[in-house]
Amino acid sequence: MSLSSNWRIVLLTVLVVLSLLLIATKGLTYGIDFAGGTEMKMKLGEGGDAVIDTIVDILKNRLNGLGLKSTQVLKEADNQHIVVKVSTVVPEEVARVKDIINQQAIFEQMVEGELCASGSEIALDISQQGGSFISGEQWQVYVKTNGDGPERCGNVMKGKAGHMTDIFLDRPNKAFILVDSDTCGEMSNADFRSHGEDSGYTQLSFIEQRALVPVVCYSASAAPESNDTLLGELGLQANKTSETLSLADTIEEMGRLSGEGKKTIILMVNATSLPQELAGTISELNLTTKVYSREVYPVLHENPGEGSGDNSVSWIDTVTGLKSTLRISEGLTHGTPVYNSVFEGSSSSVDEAKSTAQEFRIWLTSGNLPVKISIVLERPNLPELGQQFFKYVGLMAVLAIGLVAAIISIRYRRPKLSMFILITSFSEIILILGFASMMSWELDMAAFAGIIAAIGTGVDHQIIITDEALRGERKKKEEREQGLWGIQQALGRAFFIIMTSVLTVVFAMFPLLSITDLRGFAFTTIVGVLIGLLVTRPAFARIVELYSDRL
Amino acid sequence: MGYYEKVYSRVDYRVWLITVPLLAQLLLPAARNVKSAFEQCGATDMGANVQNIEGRTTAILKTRAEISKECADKALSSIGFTQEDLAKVIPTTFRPELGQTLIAQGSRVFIMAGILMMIVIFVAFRSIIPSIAVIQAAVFDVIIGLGALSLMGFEMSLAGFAALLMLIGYSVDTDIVLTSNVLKDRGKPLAEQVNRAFTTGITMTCTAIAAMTAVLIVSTFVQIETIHQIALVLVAGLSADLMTTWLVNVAILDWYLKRTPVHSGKSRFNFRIFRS
Repeated sequence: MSLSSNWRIVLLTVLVVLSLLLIATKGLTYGIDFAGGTEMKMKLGEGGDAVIDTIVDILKNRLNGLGLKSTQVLKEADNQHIVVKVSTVVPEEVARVKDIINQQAIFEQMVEGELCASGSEIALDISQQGGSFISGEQWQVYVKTNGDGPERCGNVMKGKAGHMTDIFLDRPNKAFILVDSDTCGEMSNADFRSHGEDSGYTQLSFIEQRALVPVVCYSASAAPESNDTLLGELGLQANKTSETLSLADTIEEMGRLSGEGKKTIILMVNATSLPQELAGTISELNLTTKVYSREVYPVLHENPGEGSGDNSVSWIDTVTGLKSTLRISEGLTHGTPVYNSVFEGSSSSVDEAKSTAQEFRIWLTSGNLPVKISIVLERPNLPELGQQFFKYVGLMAVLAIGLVAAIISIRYRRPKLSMFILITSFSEIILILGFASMMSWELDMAAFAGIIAAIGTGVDHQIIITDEALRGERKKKEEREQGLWGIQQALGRAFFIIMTSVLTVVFAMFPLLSITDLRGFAFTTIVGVLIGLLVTRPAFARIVELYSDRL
Repeated sequence: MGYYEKVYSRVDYRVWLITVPLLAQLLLPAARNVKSAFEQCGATDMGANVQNIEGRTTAILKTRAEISKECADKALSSIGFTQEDLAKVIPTTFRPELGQTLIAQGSRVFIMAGILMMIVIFVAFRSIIPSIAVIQAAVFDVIIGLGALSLMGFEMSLAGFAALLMLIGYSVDTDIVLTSNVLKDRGKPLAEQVNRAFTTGITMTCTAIAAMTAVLIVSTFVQIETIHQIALVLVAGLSADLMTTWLVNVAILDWYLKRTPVHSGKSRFNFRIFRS
């Protein structure tokens, strides 16, 4: 048995070992069918297909703040439906998820903490150049304001040529931030933007004075002196409005802010990791917590190049909903009402300029376009049901394999051959699961159905290979005398059948990838039959070839 | 086309699936109690079955009527449910829009999948009539699978769609075995070729039917509806496949061979990887 002629068997063995290692070390991810959770499917109102990507982004962003173990927001291929999967079945949490889904995005333009225009007061002006214009790396977006917007914008921009105006989507106006003193120090010591155009603000003062979100800095340590030393080390840069507070003062401040209607608290760590007194206050005041951890958003704030700053997923941008900062040009600063304005900037490439303009168009329309979202399916899956289900699947598998083994044994009456067929099918299951583990793809009920489909096809194909080979073997005697050796041709024909069958299955499954609920099934089936075609079938054929006269 | 109408029309309703933990000692009478309690809320078409979930007896109720949470809570507390029990009641809603979308998407996907399969099979065999014979078997198997669903009163669900597509895969396998056996060795008597293919094909179909029967039996006892549906479609469809392949497809090939002259058929998918 030389390695070169048996490489198929060697490859199969190596891959099976690798898959087992992967499953053992990395494990498998189970979908909400097994792990428990709630699935919601919603339909977008008219015109929803144009803004579906924005809605998906906005929902993802909002749901991430809930601090659930896993949330998924998926887009249906028909651009009319969105599927949300959350890892909870607790009614209160599900209700919160629904609240979040039903909110609409609000677009706000602010000038140094003062509102210019928001919501329906500001819109894309499609009468000019269709709303946006790209010239090389330069982009322009045309906007119009109405209602109280023009006058308010005129007033807040008066005399502020060269100052910045901030664009927010879903600014958390009923929330405050609670962070530890170290982070506070870090934020109060770093410039918001490093380039000269937008100077004079630290990250902390930006959040408090331009995004208008109060920041409460607490110190967990009992000795207040250490805070002074810390502030000293930081060069006493700490902002006046957010001195580090002792725990008692922090609790008092939380009560005051909650009294002002700021009922949402934004945290960097889970409430359970906070000092006990603070966690207690949060539940006492009945505050809604949103957690944006440093693991998910490691960068507090990046300093992106001029004109962009839209794609960064920094902590500050995410928490405040900041989408862009733009410099106010002189023409708008005379105090007269501003009815029309142009957002403009330059990007590093033409494509980037196009996508920036496109993003502005989406932000300007998403909050204002009345796209109604209606939840058309709500399906909770109890985790217990999933565990129960596993037991039964095991029972089914044992029974099914037993019956298949019985039929094959009766048909061929060659125990070694039947064993090879079963072992090959087992290795195929291991390979599919190993692949799933490597890609960390979620195994749901549909994926298991896909594995069953692939294994069923696998057994079928091994029967085809065996039958063709045995036939070649029988022919052997008479045809070898005439110079016609059977087994090679026989296997060639078996593979014609298998190839056609695999291609048919793959092509039949292909359109299914467009339906979110069946994507797992289609994908698993395709991967399963391809693994079969490329790895297990050739190895099995080689085994049959090697042992055909001894089986 | 009666099957389609019957199966599909069921999705056009809003379905409430209510999972209610029952007080363990009461079992089936309790499920009936829950059912009659819900009837006060206007649920006249309610179906109920009882299932054991992790030692807790649970009723799964299904209705097309809309039941408000208030009415459901009131009805259940009237038969002795505590606040704690009520928290474990899980309503699931499927609205009609979803059913319609599913049908629209499903039919589109089916047609596309059918066309793509036809192309692959035609490329493999390079002749129209044998390809049509393969497709007819798949189409009739699917229709019979749908019929089984309808007969058992199942709603068409995504699991049903998945099962129908699995069925297509299995169905096409046996037909390809038959067709390639018959077309590759033309000149030999048809009966001999068919017999050869039959031995292989019947083993394939029987193993699949046996495996799915095991799944069907277990899922009947433990009430896992998705899996039950898949198994039911496959058992019915594969049994039908025995007829559509070994009676209909053989007859078509017989007719085709008698009216077309012999020409050499070469394998189209012969890759080095499969040969040594």
